[in-house]
Amino acid sequence: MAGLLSLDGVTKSFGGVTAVKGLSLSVDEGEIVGIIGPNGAGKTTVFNLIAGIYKPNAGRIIFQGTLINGKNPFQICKLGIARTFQTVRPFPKMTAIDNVIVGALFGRARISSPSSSREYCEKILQVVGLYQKRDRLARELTLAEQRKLELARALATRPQLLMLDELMAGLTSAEISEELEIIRMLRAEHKITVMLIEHVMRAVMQICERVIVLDHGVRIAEGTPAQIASDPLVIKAYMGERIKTGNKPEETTSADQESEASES
Amino acid sequence: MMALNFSVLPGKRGTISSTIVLFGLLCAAVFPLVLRQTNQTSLLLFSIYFVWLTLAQSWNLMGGYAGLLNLGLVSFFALGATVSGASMHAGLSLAPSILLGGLAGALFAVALIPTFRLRSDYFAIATLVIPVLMKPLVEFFIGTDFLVPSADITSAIDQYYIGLVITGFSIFGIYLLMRSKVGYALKAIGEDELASSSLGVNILLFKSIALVVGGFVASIAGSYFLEYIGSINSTIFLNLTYSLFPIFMVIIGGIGTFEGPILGALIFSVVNYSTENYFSGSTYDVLLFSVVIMIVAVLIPRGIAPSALALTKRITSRHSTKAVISQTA
Ligand SMILES: Nc1ncnc2c1ncn2[C@@H]1O[C@H](COP(=O)(O)OP(=O)(O)O)[C@@H](O)[C@H]1O
Ligand SMILES: [Mg+2]
Repeated sequence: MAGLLSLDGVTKSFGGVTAVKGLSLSVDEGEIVGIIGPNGAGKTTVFNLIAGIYKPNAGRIIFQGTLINGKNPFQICKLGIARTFQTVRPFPKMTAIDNVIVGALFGRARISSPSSSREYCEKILQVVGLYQKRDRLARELTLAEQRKLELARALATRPQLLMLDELMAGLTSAEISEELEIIRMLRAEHKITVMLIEHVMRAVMQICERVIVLDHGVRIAEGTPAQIASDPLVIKAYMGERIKTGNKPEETTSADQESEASES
Repeated sequence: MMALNFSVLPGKRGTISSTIVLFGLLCAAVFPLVLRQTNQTSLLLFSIYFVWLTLAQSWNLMGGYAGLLNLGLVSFFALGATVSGASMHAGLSLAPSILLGGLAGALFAVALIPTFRLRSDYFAIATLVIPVLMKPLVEFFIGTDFLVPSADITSAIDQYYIGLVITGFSIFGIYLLMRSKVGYALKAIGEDELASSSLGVNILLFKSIALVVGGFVASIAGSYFLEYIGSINSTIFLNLTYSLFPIFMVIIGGIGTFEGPILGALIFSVVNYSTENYFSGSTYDVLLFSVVIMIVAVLIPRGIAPSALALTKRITSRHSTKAVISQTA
């Protein structure tokens, strides 16, 4: 497997706050990598750096052998990196399908006209389960549907690397399983490499081959989900929050059930 | 919650509106034929509204779709007029002169691109100042007074049709542009720049395209205005009317919509026509139009077109629910 993306000593500060400190990591083609860490750990900032929304203060970001820090977000998207936003950013007054068409026209897919991209975009909406809502305005969709729209738009760009920022927050258990199925399919059928930031531990544990843990902008641990779940540093960073693998439902404690109920 | 689609992108409503507008243009095309021969000079009264309709189209593309706050549309307008005037004097016939005026505006738009490269508010300030700077430059390089040569003076009816063709092209040219790839980019940029660029939209490129097309259209309107009015002077660069009225029209009608600039320009035209004919004073129309603007701004800030559509949709949906109820009963 070849290295698809690598970060080398990347630092980003906002005024006095250093959101990401000398971070190095690499992602291989075809991997599904999870990024976890407490709120404010710098996870979203890492995505924003890769996507070109922020320029790093120091370090290098290399995608498929080319240095991409300094490039504009639109150039990075055309190279094959797509992302979803943690706080959804649909085009509210455009229909669901028109939202997706934007991705198809201008991303790496570069489909030449709106009419010729329609069929392709309808298929993508089918994949994420929004086909029935294709002609609704994005602002009329529920938050969960808007998250699916984020995913559909990103997919329409035809990415090689897909970055999902808390895509599953607020979804029901059944919806989470659907999303996991979609991600597996994307890798199997479309060879898409996935990086995902997720607080829903069940999702991370089930789908990621490798998990990177950030805290205060620094990588504090990296390994398989099982290694991470038992890492004392990780447990400390989460201040005693128990990380459950979720593979065995009978292990679920009553406290976990409460938190799952409030999420949905 | 009532859901509305003001999108210019393909949709049933866009098709209905454009059909109505097309029908309106056809009526305008037939109108001179039903006038008696002696009344044809009255067509001159209407030709000026083609200028306003076209200017409103231009401003809506820049300000409504591309989010470029152009406070100096007059610089494009006056540049078109002066360049086409100079071309006619150089021996070019009317149509190529008008086209050359438009091209001058497009070229000038290209020169303005650096002003919004860094920050979009620089563009607004630049457009405010540039007409003042352009006046002496045009006087030095092109001339001060521009008269349509007698060979290029057209009959009232020809002039009317030239205006109609220009208006028709500007309306449907921009309509088609907004349904194309460019339109999707502009619409997306207008909604969320960060999300657009993350989906691969080159914001600078598409804003530039809107500016160049809009500049071309405004300068064509200026070229036509010279033909309409017969002669102009370089002081036209200082005339704020041509910068501000198109903005008012677009805001009244509904900014960033297909119907908005057309409706706004028509309302202005009706106000203007009635004041000219019943109060015979040029200050009244400004006054009356200002009152209309204030009323619209307070009562319907989104503009007339979106609100009127909301109303019709609400009424029709009430009818359809009634129909459903009566069917099931
Ligand atoms: N645009 C910004 N301006 C200022 N501070 C920011 C900005 N983006 C992120 N930060 C700060 O950087 C830190 C990391 O934020 P973020 O990457 O959003 O964390 P996470 O996604 O892990 O919750 C936080 O302290 C946050 O306040
Ligand atoms: Mg975050």
